[in-house]
Amino acid sequence: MATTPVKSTPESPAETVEERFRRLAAAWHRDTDYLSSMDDADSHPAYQEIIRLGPEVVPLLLRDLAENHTHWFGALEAITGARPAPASAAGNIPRMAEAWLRWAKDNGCQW
Amino acid sequence: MVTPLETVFPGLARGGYRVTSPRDGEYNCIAWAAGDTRVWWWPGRDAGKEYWPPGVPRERTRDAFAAAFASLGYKICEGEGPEAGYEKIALFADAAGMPTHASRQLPGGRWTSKLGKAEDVEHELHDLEGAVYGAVVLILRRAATAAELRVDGNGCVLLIQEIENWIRREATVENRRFSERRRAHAVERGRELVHNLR
Repeated sequence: MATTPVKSTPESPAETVEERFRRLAAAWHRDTDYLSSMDDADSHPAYQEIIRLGPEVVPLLLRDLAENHTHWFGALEAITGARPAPASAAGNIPRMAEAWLRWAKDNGCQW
Repeated sequence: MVTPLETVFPGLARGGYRVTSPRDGEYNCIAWAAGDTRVWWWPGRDAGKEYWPPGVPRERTRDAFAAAFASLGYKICEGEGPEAGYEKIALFADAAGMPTHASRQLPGGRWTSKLGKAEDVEHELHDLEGAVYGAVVLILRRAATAAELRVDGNGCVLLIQEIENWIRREATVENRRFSERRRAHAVERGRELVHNLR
């Protein structure tokens, strides 16, 4: 997997969580969008740094999941500890997204 | 001008290629090669995230991928050239032998690939080789039931291929209870439909 090192610190002290998320997500897309392995994509440094942003980033992940079905399943599970998609939905991205968004509503998450 | 795709896959510019779909993160190369655009196929560590055919080892090995395609009737073969009456799939792997990608042959000999979460492209087989996907390591083929209908025109061929793709999806993904009897019935209905269109 060809990757570009991601800076582990914010570009500037004023960078918001959303700005940092956007920067990291762009790097992740650039380096992993052509890959089929979710394990490879999820282990990318930018994805791991997004996970380290913690609960604050969850609304941003949910919004992107709702709008674009972006594969934030691993990050959401790592941050929340939840695993709402049934086994029968494995690989069915719309059903997995729907399960996560339903879980988020049921748990009072807003995005 | 070098396009973003050509930056990642420099070989594409060599043989000519055509983008044939918009970006779509709902299916990947293995799904596309298998004729399935509704799920993401991969033997990842977490069986809750990616689909993999039941009973096939969930391993990122050449044998496991060959077994996954064998579940659809494909067998390992020699030669990547087009053969009348057969559909072919090519498996790519990295230098360590870990599968990375699959392409499906089109009638006429060119190949079609879904590039991860990005677009589908029509291309020459080896033009995707390189840093991202490694190289072609395996060719598989199966009898193409639609091949005999090609003489009647592209419309008919496309029709029955669509029917068979739908059958394959139903049989392998959406409804695990889909029986061989129902599959055979659907194939027969498809044949009748094409016959009536002749």
